[in-house]
Amino acid sequence: MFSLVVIILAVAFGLILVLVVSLYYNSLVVLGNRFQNAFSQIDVQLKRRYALIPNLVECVKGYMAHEKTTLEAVIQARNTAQQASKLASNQPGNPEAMADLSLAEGQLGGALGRLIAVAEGYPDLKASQNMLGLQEELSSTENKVGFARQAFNDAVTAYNNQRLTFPCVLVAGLFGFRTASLLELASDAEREMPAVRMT
Amino acid sequence: MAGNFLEQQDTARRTTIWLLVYLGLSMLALVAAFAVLAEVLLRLWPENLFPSFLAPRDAEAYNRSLNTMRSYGKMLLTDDHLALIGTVSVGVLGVVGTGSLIKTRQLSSGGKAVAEMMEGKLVSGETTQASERMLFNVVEEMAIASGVPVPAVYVLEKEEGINAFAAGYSTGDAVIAVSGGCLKLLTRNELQGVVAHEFSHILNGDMRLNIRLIGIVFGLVGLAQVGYTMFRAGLESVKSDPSSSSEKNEKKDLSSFIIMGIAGLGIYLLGLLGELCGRLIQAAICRQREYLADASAVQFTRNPDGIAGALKKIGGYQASSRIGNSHAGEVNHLFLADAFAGKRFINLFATHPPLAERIRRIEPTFDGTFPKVDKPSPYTIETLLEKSAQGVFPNLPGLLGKGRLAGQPVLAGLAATDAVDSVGTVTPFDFNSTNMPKALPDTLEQAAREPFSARSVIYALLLDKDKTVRARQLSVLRAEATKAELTETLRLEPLARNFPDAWRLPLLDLSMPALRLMSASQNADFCSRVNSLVRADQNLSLFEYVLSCMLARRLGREYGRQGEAGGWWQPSTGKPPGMKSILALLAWQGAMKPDGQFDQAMAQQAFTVGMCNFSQKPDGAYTLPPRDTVGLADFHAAARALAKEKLEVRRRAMHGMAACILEDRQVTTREWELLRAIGETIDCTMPLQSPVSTPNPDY
Repeated sequence: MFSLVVIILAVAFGLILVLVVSLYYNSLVVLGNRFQNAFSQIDVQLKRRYALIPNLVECVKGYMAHEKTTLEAVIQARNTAQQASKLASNQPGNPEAMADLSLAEGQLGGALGRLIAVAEGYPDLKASQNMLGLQEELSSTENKVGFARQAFNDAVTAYNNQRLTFPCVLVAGLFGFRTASLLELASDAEREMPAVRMT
Repeated sequence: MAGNFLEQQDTARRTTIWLLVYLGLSMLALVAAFAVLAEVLLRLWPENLFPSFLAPRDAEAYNRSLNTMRSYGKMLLTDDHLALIGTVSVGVLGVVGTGSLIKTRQLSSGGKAVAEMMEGKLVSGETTQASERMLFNVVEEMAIASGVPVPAVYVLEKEEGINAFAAGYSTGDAVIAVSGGCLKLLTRNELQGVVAHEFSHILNGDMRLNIRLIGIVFGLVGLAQVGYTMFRAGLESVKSDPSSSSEKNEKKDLSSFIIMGIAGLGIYLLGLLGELCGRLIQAAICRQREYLADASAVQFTRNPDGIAGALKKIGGYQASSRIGNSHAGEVNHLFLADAFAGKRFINLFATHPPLAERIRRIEPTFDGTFPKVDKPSPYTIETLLEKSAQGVFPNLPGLLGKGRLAGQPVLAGLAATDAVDSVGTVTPFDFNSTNMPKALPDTLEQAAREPFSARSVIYALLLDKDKTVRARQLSVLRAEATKAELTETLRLEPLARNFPDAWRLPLLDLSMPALRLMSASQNADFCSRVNSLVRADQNLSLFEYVLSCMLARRLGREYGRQGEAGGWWQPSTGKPPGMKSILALLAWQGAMKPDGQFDQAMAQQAFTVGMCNFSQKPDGAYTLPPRDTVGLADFHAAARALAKEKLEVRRRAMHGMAACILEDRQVTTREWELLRAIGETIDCTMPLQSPVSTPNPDY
């Protein structure tokens, strides 16, 4: 009789344990998917930006042929950033991938800033419709990246918070859920600095 | 008025010093009391007594210790008492000192630890959320005003009360945290006052002073604890079986235990007394520092209304300054105002002076009455309706707009059953949305597909055609939205202005998937801005109402979710009471003529047809409620009630509504929007595109 009670209790306890573990497991999976989806939003906008840059360089080339180094720096930075974003989109939240992307994006931003600053010195170029349109596109894409990044970081934070709270941290350890890292990019203000200095 | 803050600071500082002197004096008194206790006990102590339980195993060592003790005891009892006082001082201060060191170490783990313990969320300098941005800016301003480096800023989002704290051992690791209630309820000036108050705590080293004081109090608690342990040990030994100890020492031992018990009791009581004094003085110092910080807040901001206004709001707010976090007790002294406001009765131990007294020191004319502050209302359609019901649209004429045309027909000659039978079904046509997006201006359609600009599409659609209202809405947006958001909205605004009304709902539909990609906090920001835009003109237009219904359904919780449609546990009556209000509104709406007059007979006819279709009785007689009793508030309430009915009832209701609308063989944009709103609310959404069969004339 007694042993029966013990067995029933043990089974019940085991079932509850499995239930609790699976609930936490599922919550982690859901939150993990959510931030990965959020990253794809950033990715869409980054791709758009990478596609715009060759156009920009093409447009500028005719006017400023002897600013070759600046142009090459932009192309170089754009290619590096594109590589980094490809790697990052395969593993959003991975600390190294995020840091690489952040660095590459920072450099691209800097190179673009210099290009725009140099372009200020060419009145024809400045007034060209094509250039204005591209600049407008670039800055609006920048805004969209910023917004998508905020959503991504919010989702990562939600995931990390869940992952680090008490019972869930055990489940996370058991199934190898890693802490995800945020994507930090240099703020717009920092990026505009060089342009301000040149004018 | 602002002139005397320096004087007040001076008073508060002087009082603090006096209180510290009192604390020192009470420590001295404590030592003296202990000395007396020790002398009395030593004189009572039997000559040959040394508790055997303390004795080492071998007799020689025991005797040696006994001799040492005896000579030490004799030395203490010499006439000049110096040795005695010295020993007691070292003993008492040693215990208190150790205790306070332990506690001080625990407490000085830095402000970050405290903020995290209180579940604070770090605000980054990059934040785009309007209220957090404002907080961050205010902190930076006050850092400049007070000359303290910018501390880390935290928000206690879960806390509804108005409160804030500064923590940290030095200015380097200081943090400032404000509650969610602060951000929601305080104006910028008041927030500035609160932040300045906290900066004063950082600047004046109050956190450190407090940690030391708490350390001392804790040391005194430790002393009492030592005494209590001795007392208990003595008591237990006396009570326990004496036969276990050796025959020879039995009697002496017992008396030694009694003496130890008495000593323990003495130490315990004196420790308690010391703790009491310590706590009283600590609380008194805390209160002085609050006065000092209030005065400094005035100094930093040069604006007594800021901090005074914030304190008044605390007094008039139902959640007051309460903090729900379970750790609040440990750091109550750090807070702007009492974290347990209204739950404490003894003023002597209060770490904060009474609110009225604090305000009076800043603003001597204060009469002690606190104006009531309402809880920030979450954004729901009900609150919107409530607001508008008082003013601009008490009933139908308001809804219909100031004599505007009733909208363009979007559907002619469609049988009622056609539209309703498509409820819940998916026809290939629904997905073939090619006919719609082509009709939309390119940029609006593109913008609606991307979360960042989809928000601006909604803002742009909400901007009123009326110039003054639009100006007010834009200024609201300028104050609340980020720069990028505003620029995008202004870019889309001209497109949206020329956008035909009939296409607004399709555009909304199109933007929903993008809007759903927002994170929870972005969603909350978005909804609060939509709310402000809708409220800017104190008038809820039909489109705004439909939009609210749609957002509530699609964006869910953040938006103030409505009740889910029919649960199995809710008994269905089959006769929703509000059906009349719904159909009456639709009927009157349909009977509006281009000149703004109403065709009563037509309304009656449409109403009857609708009711017959709903109740499934072909020849029923129904009386149309008079026009001035029909309003959107009733309509919405009825829709909410209807949402709880079973699907079958809801479908019948949709039948009735469609029949009512189609009675005059044409559906205006407004009617269609109403139908759409109710469809969203009762979870019977109709495919939107299919009925748009005739191209809109003005498009």
